[in-house]
Amino acid sequence: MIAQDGLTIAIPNWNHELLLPRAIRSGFETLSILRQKGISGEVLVIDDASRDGSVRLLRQLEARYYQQGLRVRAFQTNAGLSANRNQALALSKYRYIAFVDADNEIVPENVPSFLKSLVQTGAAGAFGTVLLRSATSDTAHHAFSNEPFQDRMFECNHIDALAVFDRLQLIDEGGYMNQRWEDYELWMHLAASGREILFLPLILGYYYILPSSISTDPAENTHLDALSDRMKRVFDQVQARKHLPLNSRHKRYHPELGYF
Amino acid sequence: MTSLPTDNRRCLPSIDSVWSVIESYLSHHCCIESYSSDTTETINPLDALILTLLVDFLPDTINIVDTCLASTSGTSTVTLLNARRRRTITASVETMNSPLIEKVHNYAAEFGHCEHFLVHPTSAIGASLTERKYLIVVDCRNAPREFGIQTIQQWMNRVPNCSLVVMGADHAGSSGIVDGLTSHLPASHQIRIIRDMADALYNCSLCLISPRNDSDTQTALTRIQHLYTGNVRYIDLLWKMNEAAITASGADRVAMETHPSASPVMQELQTLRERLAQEKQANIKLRQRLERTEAALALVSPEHRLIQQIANGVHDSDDRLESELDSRENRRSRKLRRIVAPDGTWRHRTITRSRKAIGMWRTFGTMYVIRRVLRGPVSA
Repeated sequence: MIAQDGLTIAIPNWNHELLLPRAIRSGFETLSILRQKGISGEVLVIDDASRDGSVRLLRQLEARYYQQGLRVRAFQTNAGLSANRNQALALSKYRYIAFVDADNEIVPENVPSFLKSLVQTGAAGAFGTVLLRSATSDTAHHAFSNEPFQDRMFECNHIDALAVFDRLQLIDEGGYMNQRWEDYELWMHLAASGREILFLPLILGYYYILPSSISTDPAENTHLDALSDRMKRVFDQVQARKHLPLNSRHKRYHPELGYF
Repeated sequence: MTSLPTDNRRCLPSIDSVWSVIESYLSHHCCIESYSSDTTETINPLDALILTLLVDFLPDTINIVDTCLASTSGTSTVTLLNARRRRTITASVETMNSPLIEKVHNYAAEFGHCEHFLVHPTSAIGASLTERKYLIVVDCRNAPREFGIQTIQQWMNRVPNCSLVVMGADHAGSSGIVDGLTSHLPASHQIRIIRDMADALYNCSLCLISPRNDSDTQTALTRIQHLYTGNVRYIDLLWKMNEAAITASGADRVAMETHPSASPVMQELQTLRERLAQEKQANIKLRQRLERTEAALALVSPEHRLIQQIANGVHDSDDRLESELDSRENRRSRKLRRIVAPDGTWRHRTITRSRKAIGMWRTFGTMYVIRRVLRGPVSA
């Protein structure tokens, strides 16, 4: 049975032993805040065959915090981020799911608003502003993912993977595709399929720029042009999207205000 | 509802992977929709994982006797049925009519474990155990101490050379079952408490009683220990974190001050502190007085100098006046003498000799004058 009013905080992990406790801690803090509002939750860590000691750390943390809602699934073979996120969708106990990367953290205080927005509107996903920090900083130097879904998404992604989703709608749409920039592809797929995507003007998390992040890896960034061409080919081949109705276009929402 | 892409990857054992099977059994076969994983009616989730690992880490498949089917609502049997290196699970029950047996049977049938699941009454189980080596699982969580020890001893007598996994072991030294077993254990056996193997295993209530020459179970325990120990000890992290917090909060100062052995030192410290405070106060007062005195002195000195100057001036003028008066008097007396005793007269000579004698008397005294008079005038 799927618990209808709970939230799974899914943390896919691959070799982030030293950063993982921060993400898990923010997950626990979120659970604590949700519990105060009578909402159940869990922190689900999916390990993708890490080799840096993450599995040992996760084993120990699970032994100590299982009763507090920490679940760990550690796979023996590596299958990539998409597969891990899909596993989280399959293994989650609750209707709603938030994806937090292992090197980032979620802002606990604002998560109930995102959850409430999905429950009130029946939307497939809700995202918010993400603040950028350098690896060791405790102040942000930039904000992104702070605009609603717009037509220029078909040109370039401006929404982060950190978001809260209705798990069942994601499963119905087939989950994440096994490719690079799978989160971008998912947003496009949900929008093109007529699902509703909400933007809340609230900070949902912190994105830490690390020296070896995918976002700073030159090898990853050389594929951007090819990826962009592929996205246009799949989702906007005749360049007519901006003229067509889109349920996700400019959807700004706040549980206290409604659509605005 | 469409399904996600299939993922047949093998999972490393975790509490969640072991407990999800038990959850499925409880919800489908026992019809328990809501339950707490920390209840004693089911096996503890961490105990379930460690039990699974213990069986899976044995080099050979092993036959297991599960005496906990009734006390754990069948969850211990389900856990053991899903262990990879188990051969048969023999459930030891008091009554053969228990509905739990049927539920576990149904579960075993659903997953093709029927041929590995046997049930025997406890009283008759000794005769059915023909293999040399067994692993026996015993639940002492809710049993009185003496009853638990007795049960364990009975099994050890019934099945010699067996290894026992006991649920409900407490800390060594807490006068529980472990302490009781230590004194009753034969020399050929040893006891290992799982929670003492690693900090992260603190919540595990299992202990293993095995023959000393059983290297297989010892190796399995060592492998489990390695899984839960790493580069950093969890307790060291907690210690450092608490130390930093205590340092920041100053709580250790309070602890030091209130410790019983610190009393005489603290009294002396207090006395010295009070004296120091008093000295400081006295210093402050003296300093203030000095400042006032200096201030006053600074005011008085110019006036004093002025008065001195005036006084000196007065003295000078007095001296001048006196000398003036003296000179006037001398002039008057000379004038008078010229009238009374003009120069060359015998009166003048008498006055002159008298004045000289008076001078000598003043200077040299009376006796000198008398001697001079008796000696007579002295020639030049």
